[in-house]
Amino acid sequence: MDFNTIAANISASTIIILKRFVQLIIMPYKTMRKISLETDYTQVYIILAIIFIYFQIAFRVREYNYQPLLTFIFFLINSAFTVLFFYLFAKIFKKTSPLSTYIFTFAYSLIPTFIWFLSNSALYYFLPPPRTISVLGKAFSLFFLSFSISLLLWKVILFYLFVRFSTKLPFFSIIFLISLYLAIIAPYTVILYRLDISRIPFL
Amino acid sequence: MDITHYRLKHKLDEVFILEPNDLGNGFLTMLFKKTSAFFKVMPFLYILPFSIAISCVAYVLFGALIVKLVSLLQYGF
Repeated sequence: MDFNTIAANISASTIIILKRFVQLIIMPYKTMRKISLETDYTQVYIILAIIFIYFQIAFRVREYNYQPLLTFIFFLINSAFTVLFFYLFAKIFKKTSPLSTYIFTFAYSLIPTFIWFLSNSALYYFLPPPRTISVLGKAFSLFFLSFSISLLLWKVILFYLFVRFSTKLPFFSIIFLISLYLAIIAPYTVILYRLDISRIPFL
Repeated sequence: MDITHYRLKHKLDEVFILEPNDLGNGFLTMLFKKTSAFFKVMPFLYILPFSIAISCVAYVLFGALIVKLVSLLQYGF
């Protein structure tokens, strides 16, 4: 492959990611269904590259005890664990989707997380905490809380769709699996917090 | 005609990639289908007012504590 072909592939995949980003806001169900059939791995690499760039930027916005590369490696470990957790449990339930379905749907379900982390870093830079109990401080707090809850709910929808389209399990089995996943990931998150690697996990 | 048939088959395969959710009870399944329909298309129409309402209720209930919570969240990245 020559440089022009590689550049064309990257550009095409970037445009698809941007299009899917908008579509995930407008029609998440239909878009996730399309994503679950995706085979172009360049999109996953681009999403990972964007997240890696974000970690580099965040490292410059505030001081961390560890290099961004280490934070990124932990993010990759968390992601691999998440994908394999649902993949292996789906195997137990005799549901066989290809691993690529899990990877693509999970990668796209990271978009709300990425937006929250990026905007939080930007706000940290322009309006550094702590907030005060003045009128402006309260107004900003209300705005930030509404914004965070909105993104959290969007994340919940996309995460549910990630599990639904990859495992193809019914509703109650998905709720059971997600609860089990959260029960495992919660203490792990506390360990990462104690080690000062991440305060809120990038998942 | 062949292309139309191919596209139709492709679309049907895509739409029926999942078995419909059955919650084991007719009423629950119907409730689930009606509720999930809101989140399939333009979910932010419901998410945004809901988030604003929750934040306002939290402010009324906890007052200045939400300012502390936001400060904590701002250190969260």
